[in-house]
Amino acid sequence: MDPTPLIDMQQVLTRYPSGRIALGGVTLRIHRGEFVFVVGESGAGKSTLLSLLYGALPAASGHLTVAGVDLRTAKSRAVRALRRQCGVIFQDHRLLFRRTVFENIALPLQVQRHPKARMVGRVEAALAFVGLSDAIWSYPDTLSGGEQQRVAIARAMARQPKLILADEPTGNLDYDTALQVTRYLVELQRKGSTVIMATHDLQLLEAFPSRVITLHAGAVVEDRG
Amino acid sequence: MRSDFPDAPTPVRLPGGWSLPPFGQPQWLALLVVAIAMWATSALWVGLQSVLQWAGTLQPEIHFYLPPGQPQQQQALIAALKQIEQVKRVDRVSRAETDAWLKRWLGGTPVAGDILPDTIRVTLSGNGDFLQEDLHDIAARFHASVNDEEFALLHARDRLTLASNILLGCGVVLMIGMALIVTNTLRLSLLAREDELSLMRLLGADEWFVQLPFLLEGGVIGAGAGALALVLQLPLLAALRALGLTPPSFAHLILPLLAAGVIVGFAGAVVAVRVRSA
Ligand SMILES: Nc1ncnc2c1ncn2[C@@H]1O[C@H](COP(=O)(O)OP(=O)(O)OP(=O)(O)O)[C@@H](O)[C@H]1O
Ligand SMILES: [Mg+2]
Repeated sequence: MDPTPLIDMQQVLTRYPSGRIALGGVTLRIHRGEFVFVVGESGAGKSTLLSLLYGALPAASGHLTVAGVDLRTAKSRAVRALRRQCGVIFQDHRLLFRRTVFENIALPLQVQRHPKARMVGRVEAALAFVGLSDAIWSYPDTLSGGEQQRVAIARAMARQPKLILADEPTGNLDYDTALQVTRYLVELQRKGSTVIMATHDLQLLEAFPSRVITLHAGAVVEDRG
Repeated sequence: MRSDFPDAPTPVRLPGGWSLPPFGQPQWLALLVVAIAMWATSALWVGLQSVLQWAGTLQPEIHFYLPPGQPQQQQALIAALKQIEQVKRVDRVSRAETDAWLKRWLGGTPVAGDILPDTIRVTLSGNGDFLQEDLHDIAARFHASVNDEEFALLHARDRLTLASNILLGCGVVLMIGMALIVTNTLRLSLLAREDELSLMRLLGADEWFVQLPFLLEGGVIGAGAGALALVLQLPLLAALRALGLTPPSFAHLILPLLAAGVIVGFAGAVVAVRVRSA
């Protein structure tokens, strides 16, 4: 096993401005190339945990290193560089409905000033991976919920990130579609990415046996696999 | 843009960097308001400059009157007047000229020649702090009298210069107001794109990359307003010329108006992005 973990979290505590402590002293290590499920009841802290990993939320105390970046002391430049290595699928998927599927998926490439001439190829490849090649010039609101989830996956993988953080990418989907969406993520892991997927769909855990971290009320209560 | 994406059925708009956000109704409205404010200020200034220019072509003259038949007194008065710094020329006005002027002034009524005073015309090059007092002192010394009404033009020029400076000061205040109009418009624009901007930040965009389109938008609004205000000066300049005045030339207005517009727009945009990210 790789001696330096991709994610090293020790006694991390997170407090929202409201005073609510969402994670109380979480310690875990995740290595490169792993596929990890994060489960737990609603409000357990799954989204909070994922937000910490790309610097969207600061840790109030403890120690947190992601891809060699110490997030508690890092300059904003280093945080931006880390974010560019991450592919995030947000819980509310955050597609821009006033922009086309192409523009949505090209956005992560655009923010790192990827040459425009090679954008279409990248976006097409990402869409082909999730089986939505025909939708490239449509608007997201003309797609079904499951198709929108797949666009969100395509956006997260467009710049071939080392780390994929998927926050309930199968929420609101029927079981078959959920299986298919998870299969895409497992496929990305096989291609070399590290994938962390939050879910409350326990059936998926049986279909894809892998490491499962269980959160309860802001603490890790089980870590198996 | 289109050339980058030849297969796209609609133009592709990617946010950030040098791409300009869409120019909608609020932007046009801000452009118009700023243009009107800029036009009004510069129109007042142009008007004042024309009047100042006109006032400058008039030689300020002061007339001194001496009882007739005192040539030594006259010589001494002329010598004393020439000592004063702002006095450009001193002339004796001939009796015939005085006569003619007086006749014209009185509407053609003939005047008895021997009661006319000897007249001395002093041409001034400008005004000074104690000029009026100095001239009065000299008049008193030689028992001459001064046509006080002629000082009015001298004072009018001073006032016009002061008014033109006050106007420039008001213009600066107005520029701040106009910048805030741009700020307000851009804040609407920023708010409408809040989701997109926060997403770009989460995807690791540089702050300048996120903000540049809005700074550009501010600059475009300002430059557009400056250009519009400039074009609207043309009829005013023509009207002033028709009045026989010599307003500042159009070429002299181009740079100040465009530059003021861009500065106003850009400053407004900087405030807008600062306030937002605070
Ligand atoms: N912005 C916020 N401000 C204050 N408290 C918050 C905020 N976001 C989340 N919380 C609180 O933090 C706790 C953990 O929230 P989190 O979103 O991480 O849960 P979750 O496990 O993702 O839940 P779900 O399965 O419903 O998405 C919850 O109690 C929630 O109320
Ligand atoms: Mg959540």
